[in-house]
Amino acid sequence: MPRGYAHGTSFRKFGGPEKRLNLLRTLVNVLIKHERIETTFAKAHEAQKYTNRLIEIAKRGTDDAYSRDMIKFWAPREEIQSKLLNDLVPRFKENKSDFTRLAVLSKQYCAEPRQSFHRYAVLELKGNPLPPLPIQEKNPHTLQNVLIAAAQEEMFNKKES
Amino acid sequence: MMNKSWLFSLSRWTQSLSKEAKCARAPILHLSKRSSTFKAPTRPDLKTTESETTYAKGRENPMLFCEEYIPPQVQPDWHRNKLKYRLERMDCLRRRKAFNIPEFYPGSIVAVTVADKHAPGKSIRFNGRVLYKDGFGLGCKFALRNVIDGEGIEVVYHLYGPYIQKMEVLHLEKWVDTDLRYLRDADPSYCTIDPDMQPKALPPTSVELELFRERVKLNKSPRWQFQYQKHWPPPYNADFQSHFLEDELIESERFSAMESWRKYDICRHYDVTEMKEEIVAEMKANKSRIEKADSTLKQETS
Repeated sequence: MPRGYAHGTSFRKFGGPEKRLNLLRTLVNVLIKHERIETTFAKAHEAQKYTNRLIEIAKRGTDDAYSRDMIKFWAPREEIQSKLLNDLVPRFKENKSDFTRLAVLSKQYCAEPRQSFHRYAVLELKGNPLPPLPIQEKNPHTLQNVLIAAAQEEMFNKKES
Repeated sequence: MMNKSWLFSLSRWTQSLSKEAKCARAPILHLSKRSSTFKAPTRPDLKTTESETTYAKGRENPMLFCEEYIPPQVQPDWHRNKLKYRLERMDCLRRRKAFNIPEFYPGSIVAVTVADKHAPGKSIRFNGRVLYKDGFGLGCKFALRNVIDGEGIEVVYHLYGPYIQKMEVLHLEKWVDTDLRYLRDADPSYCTIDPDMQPKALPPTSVELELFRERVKLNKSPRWQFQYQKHWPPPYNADFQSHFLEDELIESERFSAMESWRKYDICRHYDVTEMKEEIVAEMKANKSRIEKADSTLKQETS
């Protein structure tokens, strides 16, 4: 798990709670619009959590007052709201909670504002029309993965019976 | 005997009628059995089984789901010990089978009889208004407050405590707030309850409970137990702003504005909808699990 969280939480601070939510809101909206963005790892990791949760809420539908309020706050613009409800919700009908993919890039030197190295990352929605990222997906044909898959199936069948 | 005399008089009357009159008037009694269009009504099923009791929107079957079956929020999610929660829920069901814990919410008036070996009659009865009902599983506690002879008294009970002998809901009410500790700083009439109060009629479970939306005015003196104006979310049923001066109002608004982002932080919210379905399925299976466990125990001991 990435380090740097305050004790007892699993969220980063980003300069204050209101500033943080506004930052994450812009990131989420941009991700929904372009389906692939490149930011620092910290921002991408936080935005990933919030996009997953937002799509989960949107899947519930607009009958719920809670989901209506949250979608209104997190996707205030019409084009993004319509894309979320008409495009992404049917796309992720079968996925339960995994709607995004996070790929980590090498460290890059930022001359301004601070002369420091930042780790950048690419955050994308699954099923996007862009060319795929060169990520090494898990190989299902290695011996370990084959045995693990068989063991999982056995557990699942045991539970059912 | 009565029937015979009546028929006799009837036949006499029909005989006395003239021919024309007989044709014109319809017969009073249809005496022939063959041409009857009478259909006997079906006998209604008066048996009510458990599955037929319907529960309205805000109310649930306590054997299947209750607020204390929801585990406390832990972030991240995989830090939980789910086995512990499942075992505790099974124990809750065991107690509920042996003792009927009624349904009540913060704001309702409840009377509790508790076993006490030092009391005359070996039990004590206390009634009052429920201030809060907090905790998970067997550790669920609720507090009753009553003002007797001008003295405010609060008692905290465990919902699943085996020392509770009887629990009666005298008045079922559901307030919008779940934490009514501000009633200590409000008009004592809300918590003065007659120790001999008679129970009011409970609404059936198929009826949705209306929320109590009146606003309780707190005392003028600012020496409250908590600074309610600095808490978020602000309580709905408490009216603490009517006595404020301008700068106090501005400060209270500043505090609520500082914390209002919590309403929209979706990752910190506790989503219970998925968990509720899992818990209901689990509790349905728990019935048979408990029966199995008890039967094996009996076999071993006998």
